[in-house]
Amino acid sequence: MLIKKIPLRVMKREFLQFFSIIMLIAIASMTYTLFAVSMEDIDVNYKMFIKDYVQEDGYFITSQNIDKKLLKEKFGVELEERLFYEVQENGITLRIFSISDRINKPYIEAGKKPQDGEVLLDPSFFKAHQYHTNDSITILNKKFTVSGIGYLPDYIYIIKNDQDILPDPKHFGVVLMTENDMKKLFPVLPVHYYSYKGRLNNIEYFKSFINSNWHLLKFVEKSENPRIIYTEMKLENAKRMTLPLSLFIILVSSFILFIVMRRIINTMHAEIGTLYSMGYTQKDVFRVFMRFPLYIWLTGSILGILLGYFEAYPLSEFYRSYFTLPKLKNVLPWQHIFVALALPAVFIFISGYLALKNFFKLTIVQMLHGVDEIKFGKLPDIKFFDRFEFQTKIMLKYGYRHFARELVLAVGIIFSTILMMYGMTAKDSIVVAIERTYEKNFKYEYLYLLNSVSTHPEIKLTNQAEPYNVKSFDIEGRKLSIMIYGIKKDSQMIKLYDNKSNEIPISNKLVISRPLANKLGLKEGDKIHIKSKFTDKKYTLKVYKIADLPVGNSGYMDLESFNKIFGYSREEYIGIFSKEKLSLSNNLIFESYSKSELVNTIKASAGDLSKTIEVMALVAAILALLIVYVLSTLTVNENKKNIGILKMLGYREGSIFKMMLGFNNFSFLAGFIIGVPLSKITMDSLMNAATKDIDFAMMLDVSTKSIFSTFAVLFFAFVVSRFLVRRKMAKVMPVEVLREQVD
Amino acid sequence: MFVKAEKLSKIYRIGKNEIRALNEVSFELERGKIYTVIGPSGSGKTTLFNILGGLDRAEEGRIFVDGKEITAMDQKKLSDYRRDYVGFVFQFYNLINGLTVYENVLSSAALSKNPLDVDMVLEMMDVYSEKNKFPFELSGGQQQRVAIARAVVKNPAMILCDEPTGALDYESSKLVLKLLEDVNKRFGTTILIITHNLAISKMADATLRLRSGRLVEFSENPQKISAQEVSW
Ligand SMILES: Nc1ncnc2c1ncn2[C@@H]1O[C@H](COP(=O)(O)OP(=O)(O)OP(=O)(O)O)[C@@H](O)[C@H]1O
Ligand SMILES: [Mg+2]
Repeated sequence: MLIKKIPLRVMKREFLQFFSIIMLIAIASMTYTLFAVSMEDIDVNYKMFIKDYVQEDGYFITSQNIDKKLLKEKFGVELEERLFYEVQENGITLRIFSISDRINKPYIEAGKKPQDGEVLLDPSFFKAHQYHTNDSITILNKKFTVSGIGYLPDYIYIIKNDQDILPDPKHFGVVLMTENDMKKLFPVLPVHYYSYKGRLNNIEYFKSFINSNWHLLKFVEKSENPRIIYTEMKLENAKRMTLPLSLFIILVSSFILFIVMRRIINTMHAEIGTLYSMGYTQKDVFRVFMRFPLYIWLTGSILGILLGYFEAYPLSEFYRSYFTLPKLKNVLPWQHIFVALALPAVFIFISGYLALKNFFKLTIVQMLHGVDEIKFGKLPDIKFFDRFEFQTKIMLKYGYRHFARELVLAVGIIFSTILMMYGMTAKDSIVVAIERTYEKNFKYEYLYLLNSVSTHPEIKLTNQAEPYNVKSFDIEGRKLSIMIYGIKKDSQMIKLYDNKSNEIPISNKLVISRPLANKLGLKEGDKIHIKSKFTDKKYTLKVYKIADLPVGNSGYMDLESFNKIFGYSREEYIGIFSKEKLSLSNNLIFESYSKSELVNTIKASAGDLSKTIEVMALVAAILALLIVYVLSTLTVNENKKNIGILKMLGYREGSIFKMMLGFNNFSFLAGFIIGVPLSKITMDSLMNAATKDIDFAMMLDVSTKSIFSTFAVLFFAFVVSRFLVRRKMAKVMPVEVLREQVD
Repeated sequence: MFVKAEKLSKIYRIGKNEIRALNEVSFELERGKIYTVIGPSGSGKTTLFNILGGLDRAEEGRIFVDGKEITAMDQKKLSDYRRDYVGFVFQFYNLINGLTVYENVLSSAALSKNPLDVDMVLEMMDVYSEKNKFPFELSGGQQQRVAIARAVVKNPAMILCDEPTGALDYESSKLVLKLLEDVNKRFGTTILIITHNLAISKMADATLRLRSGRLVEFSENPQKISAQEVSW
């Protein structure tokens, strides 16, 4: 059929407008493909990795050697001891493990399994320090050869301490060596580290059994292990984002398509009527006009899928190095490509169909002659607007007539704002949280966690150091835990403030962190029910105050009361906060870190985030630009005749622009003003959903700086698209009035 | 009889008011003749064409074309009828802007069972040299001739022209009229022309005069002159 050529010709003539819609669809398809394909890649590889290389179900640390055979018989779990030692040299901490062969087996990339005298390094550390295979590394004055890169299923998100938020491969690495070398290098190992695999029916009994026999120091189930769980959480989070994000872009673009289609059909009303008069049927006309959505869909989604697919590879690589996951096999997820193709199709065809369906309700005679509703140039008659000066009045009338358009514009801006704020806030929050916490709340420079709770008579504390005790509890009814600290009554190391910045005194009453309070929905005066991790002991404590700490599931009270409540003797403690570096024997220390080390970590890793944020900002700006451009061009195209008349009458272009498109300014502003608080709300709920069952909590900070940056970027996009539209308007000549008299 | 209309009425209701755009109009037309339809603005001329051409429905009365009752046809039959029997020429041409001159005509020929040769018709209408241009690149007179070519190429039994010269100057109007006459002579097409220009009636075999929806006169024209001789 010859008339099927019409759509392509119209699209060519209105190239920029259709190109913009195609780009919107492409961005939507791309977003979906990009995330879905790379997520699937990571997901499949992750699952394969943890299965084939036997990820642990948990690990525990004891101070005495356990009876593996006894435990295995009694509880039916697989157990493997891993020799473990930590070395700190030149500001770098190396956590050294022996190579296990049943649980947490290493996946070796670019190299081979180490023999005596050889080691594997974790991929991030390897990269950060630019090692090559067969390089040598010196550990405690002994030279080793780096035989390759080793990925561990229980060290996927390689953070040093359980509380860390970001990995810091410059200062922390995991080293794998043979058991033989371990024993030679470290004749005395202070603790015993076991991984277990298998389902435990009574985990509480398991813990208390180990505790009573061999003195349990630490017990971490897989679901509480941040090195495993953060990856899963971030994967889940990213997956959760994928669909709504692309769906929203598709929805906005479909709606724009609907408006554009309606306009095309309306301007072509006489031509469609003529087609009928020639003897073409509704079916013929329908088939021809559905080609508009068809072409937009095909080019948009295929372009998007291609872009997304090629971008997915570097993104997978980025995730892979971010989470330190190995690539075990190539993944081509057809199902996601199908969705990326089908999802926009549904919305595009529906909007095309709806635009046509309304038109088909008209009779042929109405199409030929045009009825009021499809004729342009008639502005609504609203008395209220008459009180304004002429140009403002016309502007308001245009805004009113194009209400749907203005709404889409505002929604588009809201969305772009959220998108951009999301990236900015993620970065801000982490940096701000850390800086604030360490400047305002945590005044110590060094933190030491010792091997045991005792009065430690061998340690002499100066006034530059304070002892503390800490214990981790499960919160009843929730899969969450809380770390409760017992600290000095008028501690100089930890300062807590309420939300009005008044200092909260440390006393015998419990103070908890705000993120935890928010997550549990607790207010001051509420009760919190907790249970010891290693024994069955339960406690109910009253929350006295909520402290404005940006991160952490933590609680504080004074050391004396802490020891009394949780059954320690008066002077006992497990750790030290200190302003200066302490020279403690290595055998005493379980974990230690310095504040500057930690702050460096964050600063280093914030760079990684910046890249993601730049991409997000770019996408947000392009989205805003396309949406504003398409919608304003539409108005210009529809009103060519009016523009011509106004120009003929002697109106300046600036005034015409203001009258017809001035309302866009309000929609833009409204979109932005609604977008900012809405982004905070959506981020909070997203964060809550993502961290619901995870021992991780953080306050999201929307800083004025990020609000300004977001505004600057979006406003720039807005101005650019307005400039383009204005140029289009400049091209409209008064002669259009005569030419378009057919309408 | 080629066309037979019996007591046709078209009623528009606007609120409580009833407008009889056509009021019990009856007439008979012969195949192969030229008719003009005249009458003041709002008298129902276009309404009559719309019904006769199968674009609209009458409330009362019947029309037979070639023995078939088009007032009884459903949507599908009506579009077949338009396809096989009728060619339209509008005052404002209504060409498809997305198609070239050639394609505009071809899109019509494609619907016909026995179309004429597109190039031949374009040449006949003297727009062959414009065949690859788009409608908006043509003058009004050229566009109207393309519109006639589009109606003619189907080789329909009847061509309905609603003020075909209404937007044209004298010379262009005369050319259009001459071409319509040529078509009538060459292919025996029945041609109906709505016009405000009484001079045009002189080239018709008969004239229908409408007033306020009624057919007030049906006058045969024994002294028919050629389109060439018509002048005003
Ligand atoms: N869609 C409609 N709704 C209501 N009334 C209509 C409609 N279309 C036409 N009419 C009325 O029907 C009557 C006949 O209209 P029609 O278009 O047939 O007139 P006409 O003879 O073609 O006039 P002109 O010479 O101005 O083209 C007029 O009174 C007109 O107002
Ligand atoms: Mg008329």
